[in-house]
Amino acid sequence: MESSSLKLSVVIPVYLGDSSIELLCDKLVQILPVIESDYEIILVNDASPDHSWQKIKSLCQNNKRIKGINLSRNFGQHPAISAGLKYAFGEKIIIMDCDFQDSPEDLPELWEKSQEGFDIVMARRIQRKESICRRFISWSFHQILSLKTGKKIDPAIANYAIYDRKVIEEYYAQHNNRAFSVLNLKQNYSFATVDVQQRISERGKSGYTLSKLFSLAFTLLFPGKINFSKTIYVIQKTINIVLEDYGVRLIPLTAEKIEMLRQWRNDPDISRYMIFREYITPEMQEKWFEERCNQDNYYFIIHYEGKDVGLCDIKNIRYEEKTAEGGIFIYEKLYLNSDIAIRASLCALDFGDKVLDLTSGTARILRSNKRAIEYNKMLGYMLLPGQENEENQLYALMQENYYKQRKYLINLLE
Amino acid sequence: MGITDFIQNFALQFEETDTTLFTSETRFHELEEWSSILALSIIAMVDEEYGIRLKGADIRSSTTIEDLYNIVKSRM
Repeated sequence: MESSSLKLSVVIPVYLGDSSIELLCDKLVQILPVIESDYEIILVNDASPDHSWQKIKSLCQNNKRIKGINLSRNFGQHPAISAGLKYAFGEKIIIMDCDFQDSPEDLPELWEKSQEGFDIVMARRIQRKESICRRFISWSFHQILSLKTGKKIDPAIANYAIYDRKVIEEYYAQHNNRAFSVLNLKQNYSFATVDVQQRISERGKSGYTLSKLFSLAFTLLFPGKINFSKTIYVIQKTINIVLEDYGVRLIPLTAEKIEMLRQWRNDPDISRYMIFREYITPEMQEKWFEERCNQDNYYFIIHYEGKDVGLCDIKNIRYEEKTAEGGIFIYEKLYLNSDIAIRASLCALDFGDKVLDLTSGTARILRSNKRAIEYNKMLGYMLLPGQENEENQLYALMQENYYKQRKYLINLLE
Repeated sequence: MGITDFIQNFALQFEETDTTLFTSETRFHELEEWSSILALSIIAMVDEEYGIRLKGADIRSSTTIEDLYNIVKSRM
């Protein structure tokens, strides 16, 4: 979970959604501004075998409020929800299905209820429009859950709900990276339900077959730990994943910003500290962007007080070895040698640690750049043996050193 | 807390800068040795010595040592 800055996030796991997802987003874009204009929509493709991901990418490109996450294989609905929650910034978070069984038209009523101060507001489906067979499967499913958990599970309640951010944060504080399951929530939250008309799925049938329901029951009862590094492929050019923590925003580098970045990099005050110090032409910059902006390299524009102030990156990621190279520079003079770089570094390093599951990192620093050396040492980097006389020295950051330094830095920055 | 004492504590955070360069009018951002780490060291020093938690914005918005001193003093 990233720190909160938006009022509302909508997290939607997507499976077999290529016929519904565009229409659903159209509806949401009409309805959400009515209840809260400061919102985001997070679509999590659960390795859907149809064209869901292509549709999501297109939606992301056309609407900055829409984020897409692509899971590398089909993990199931609840791990998909968890992946979305990981990137949700909202103070209130809505979870809903992608196939119109959860209707966006019910959102205003759910929202209104949540504004009465309830931590959780769940949609209670009435008049389930399902076959007898399916109703039996569903009933059995909920009976098993009730028996196993010792809690009375109302089968009319599904995923569709609005959660206060604290509910989700406390869940993950308690359950680490385990898939989000409403059954494992603490009991002391204020809770309300709103009766909604259950719609038939856009596909005419649920994506959850009998075997999937039992699999879902297993996930709900024994939520497994999610290894995000293996589950999430983030495509920066199309996904607007914004990291926000420690008071700064890290916004993925997009094609619109590469000319600005090129000008920064060509400024002698910046280039003199770089290993590559030649003048960068627009063509070189475009080629670099094409080659480098992929799932192995994350480049973020550091955004602070409404301004683009610098760049930080996690690049050359080697997922198998759980390591990557980090870098940062601040361009805006006002923020040079201030706390902003530290805030951005912590934000990026936490992303590497928590989301990419990296356990170590490296940094290349010019031997003459004493300020950068001291800066990186402050973050926990150490010069590797045999690097003392190198012009471009290689430093390494181990996870335990970072944790130690991070604790100290957070204490000073907060 | 007096400004002389504050300047002395401020100067103690630096390792390479000549101590005679530190006066109430010193524009500390312009010192060669000034860095993010020193910004943090100043926050830590003020917390430890005066029990005041400065924010990064306090340091960014101050030009001289006296500006920063005035912020600290106003919060005591």
